Amino acid sequence: MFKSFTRILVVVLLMWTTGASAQLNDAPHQQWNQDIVGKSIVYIPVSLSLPLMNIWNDELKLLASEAGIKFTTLDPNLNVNKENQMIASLIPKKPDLIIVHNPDRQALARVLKAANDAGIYVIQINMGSTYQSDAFIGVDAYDLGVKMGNAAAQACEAPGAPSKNLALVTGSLVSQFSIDQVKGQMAALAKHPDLKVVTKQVVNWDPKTDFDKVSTIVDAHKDLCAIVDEYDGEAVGAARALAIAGLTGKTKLITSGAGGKFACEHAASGQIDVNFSYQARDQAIQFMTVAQYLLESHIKPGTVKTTIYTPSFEITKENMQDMGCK
Amino acid sequence: MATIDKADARDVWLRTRYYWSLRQIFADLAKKSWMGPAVPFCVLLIIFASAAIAVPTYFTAFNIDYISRLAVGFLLVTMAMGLSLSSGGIDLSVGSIFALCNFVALLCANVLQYNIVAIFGITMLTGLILGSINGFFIGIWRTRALLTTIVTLIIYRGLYNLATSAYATDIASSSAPSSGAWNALYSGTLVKIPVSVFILIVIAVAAHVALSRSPLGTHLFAVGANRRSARNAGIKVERVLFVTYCASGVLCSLAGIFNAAFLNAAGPSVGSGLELETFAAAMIGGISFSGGSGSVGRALIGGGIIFLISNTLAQIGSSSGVAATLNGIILLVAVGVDTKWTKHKQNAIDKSYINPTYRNYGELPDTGMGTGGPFAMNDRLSDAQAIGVGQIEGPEDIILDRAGRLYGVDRRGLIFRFSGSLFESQELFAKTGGRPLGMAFDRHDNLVVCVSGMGLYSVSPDGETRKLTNKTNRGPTIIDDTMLRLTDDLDIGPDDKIYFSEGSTRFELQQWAIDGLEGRGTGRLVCYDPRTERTKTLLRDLVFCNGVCVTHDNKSVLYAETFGMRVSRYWIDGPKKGQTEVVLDHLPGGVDNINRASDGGYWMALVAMRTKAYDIAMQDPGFRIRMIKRLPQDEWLIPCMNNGCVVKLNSQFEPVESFWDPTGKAHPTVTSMREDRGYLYLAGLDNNRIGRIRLPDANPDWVASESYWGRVTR
Repeated sequence: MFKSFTRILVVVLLMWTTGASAQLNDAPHQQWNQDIVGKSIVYIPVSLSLPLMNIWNDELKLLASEAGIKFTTLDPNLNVNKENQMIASLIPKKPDLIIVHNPDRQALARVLKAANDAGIYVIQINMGSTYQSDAFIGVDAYDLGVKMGNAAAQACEAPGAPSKNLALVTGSLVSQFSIDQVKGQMAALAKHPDLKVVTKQVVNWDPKTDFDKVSTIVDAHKDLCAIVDEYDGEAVGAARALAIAGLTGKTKLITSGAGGKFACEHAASGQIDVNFSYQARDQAIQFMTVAQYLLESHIKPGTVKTTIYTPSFEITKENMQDMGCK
Repeated sequence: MATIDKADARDVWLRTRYYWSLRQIFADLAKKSWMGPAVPFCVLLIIFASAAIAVPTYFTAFNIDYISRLAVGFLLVTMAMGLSLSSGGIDLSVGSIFALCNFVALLCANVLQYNIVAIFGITMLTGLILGSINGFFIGIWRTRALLTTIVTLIIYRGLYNLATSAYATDIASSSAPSSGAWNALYSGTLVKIPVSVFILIVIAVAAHVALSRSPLGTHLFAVGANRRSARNAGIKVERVLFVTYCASGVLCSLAGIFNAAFLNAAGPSVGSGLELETFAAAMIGGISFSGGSGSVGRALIGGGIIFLISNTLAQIGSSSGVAATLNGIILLVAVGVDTKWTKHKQNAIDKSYINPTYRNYGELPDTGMGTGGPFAMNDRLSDAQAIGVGQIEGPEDIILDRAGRLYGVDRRGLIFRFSGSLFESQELFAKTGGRPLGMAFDRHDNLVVCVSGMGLYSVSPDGETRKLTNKTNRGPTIIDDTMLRLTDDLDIGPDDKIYFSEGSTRFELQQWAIDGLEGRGTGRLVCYDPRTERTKTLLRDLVFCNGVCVTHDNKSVLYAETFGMRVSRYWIDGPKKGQTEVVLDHLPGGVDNINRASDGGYWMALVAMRTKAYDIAMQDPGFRIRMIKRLPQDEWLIPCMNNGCVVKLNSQFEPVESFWDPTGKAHPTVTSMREDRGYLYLAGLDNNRIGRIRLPDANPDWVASESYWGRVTR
């Protein structure tokens, strides 16, 4: 009687201490429980006011909660000074891993190195910095720029193009992504000496600024064959400006972005002619995969320098069904 | 069984209850110039503590190091803002100048690869030029600071956008500069503190000295307080304002350099909104929007508050709207408090400046006519001979020289001399300024005089005036009491040391009755040694220290405490040297001057006679507080000033007889008297004459000066 009672007690206690779950207790599960469950990841995008960073945020949050990871988002709202302070504040707090989106190639490099030195894994996404941390995961902006340049050339050299003049709109002057993308665009356009870039504008990823600037551009140049706009989150402003000027479909709008519902809607309406999507939802899965790999690897933070370029695909009105648009 | 005397218990309670006054401490503190920033400083500490509670990792070495380096730029810009606010203007272009200088520094460091000296030189020159444009318009063309700097804010921001569109990519694309000195600005330390913080401290100390110790600082605050008055005072307003905005530009350029070294970024958000953040910081630090007040300390405290709030909010990951809203609310509160405090500060100080305390004068001696005591009223002064009627105003003290000429002080800052057999000839002897009071001749026949509001002065026999001292050593008080204010009476010891009294360190001469009403005692007995030219406070907390007289034996100094109704002696020689003892207490009135008499005794003037009502009031501080609060000043109970007498003391300091003018027509107030060659001369603070009566029993050859310095003539 007493023996059976203690046996029951032991079983109950064991179930209670192991979480009483139906989980297996083999080596892989033990490793997972030890290295992943209860770890903390902090995600710092440049701003949650733009669709791309929101898609990442939703997906990362979901993945983290499934894995039992503590997930926090910090939003500096396009203020690089504040983003620097936020990352610095994490260094003494020592989360296990941070995922950072750099608005400036230089501004966060030192503090990211300090985080690595303090034993925190650092993954930089889409927009890199001069400091190479444990991993960079993101679209190859140069390659993307080449694709956009080629698409613009194709549009401008197509029969019936209003002219050989095109305009470039870039998100920022100081982000690695923008710098590389413009280089790619220029490299592609260099192969078409008949095409002429009439203006280059910077809009700081703001659709309102984009609208203002493109409105002015199309006022001055009514015959543009294409506008190459860095990011679809801002290019909606350009699309609106073209629509008001009655140039939708005539002046081709070529951009890139997160894909998903936002891109689908604009492709369907014909407001954006070519959109290269880097499929943010898939990217988020890659971020989390590498994050989990780093956490389980026990490599000293800052020692491996992984680069993973994620793919980008063209979304047009024609292929949108295949690209996940309903 | 002993019974407890209820009256005694009440006295002890009241004495204890009113010994210290919190109100007085408040009033004194409020008068201090550092009180303005004291409140924001406490706020800063509270915010620091709250940050430490909200962020458990706040006090880690990394975080403290990081935030101190990050704060440098913001604090420098706040100093720039504080500077322009102090000059009565505002520099809203600070954020744009900061951004442009940040850009220039990065261009020099990252793209052009200049060395550190060139980076500093070029960037500071940029700041100077941008600031001088503001200074030119505001100082020389006299445009309004607010409008001018709004315009330059826009222009400079436009220049920044132009410049960055051309070079930002180059800056961002460059590899970090290899210059060690440039990196040291970011990560180096000097004497264990970050280099940038070290430089900030040096700049802050230099700026503090320039603002508080140099003519430029004085001129800046004068211009800020009132431009027209400053101009009338001969200050070159144009130049002051020009320099102010130049300095503001240079401070912003330094901030830009540190920011460039720290963040290495020339993105679109650099310096935007900085003008409002630093404005809020300066306001909350206590730098008034209306100009004329401010300090480096205030700017740093205010800057610290705003910086810590925004940094703490970033650390706890709140959304950026929260910081902006909070800063707005703080600004609103700071502006409101600034307006209200500036308006009501003096009122609050005035209301709490007088703090009555308990004082028991003991039994009131009978002064009734014909009562026979030494204080019994009589009319022995009524037929006093009048000298200089209408020619002299308010002779508080009089004195006679070896030649028998009569000197009287005048409320207009003059000393008159009367000569002739009936003193019919009047001449102006000296102009001292201030309000001359007590006098004494020194060994060399110089007339040493206490000038209220100015200090201790000496007048040579030819009427030449020279300052002896106007400062003494600082006491353990909140208010700096170094400066002598109500210097009242003096006498000179055998070793030429001058012993003089200061009535009160808190009240002016015209408020002397209010000092009595308060009864707290802030008077001093001070000694000036002409050999070392040193001034030293001997006794403090005296209840209106007034008459001073060196005793005949030259061993002690008698000093009167008017509103203590007593006379004490301070030993300057012999075994009791340095000690004090009360020689006469519970007198019927407040004692003014004391002087030597020919028979080895002393003359003593009683001014401000006690009354029963006054005595009771002095034992009830609560009553007097209510009186001060509820009644206008001219209805306050004050001692009876219009009736006084001269009391003769014998050599044992016992009162022997007194001399009165009960009609009050000739000598209503007696504040001093001198015996000379068989006559007694009379003086009164508010009288229009000097009086003289014959002393039939006195030594007709006795001259006061000779009693001090002997018969030797020069």
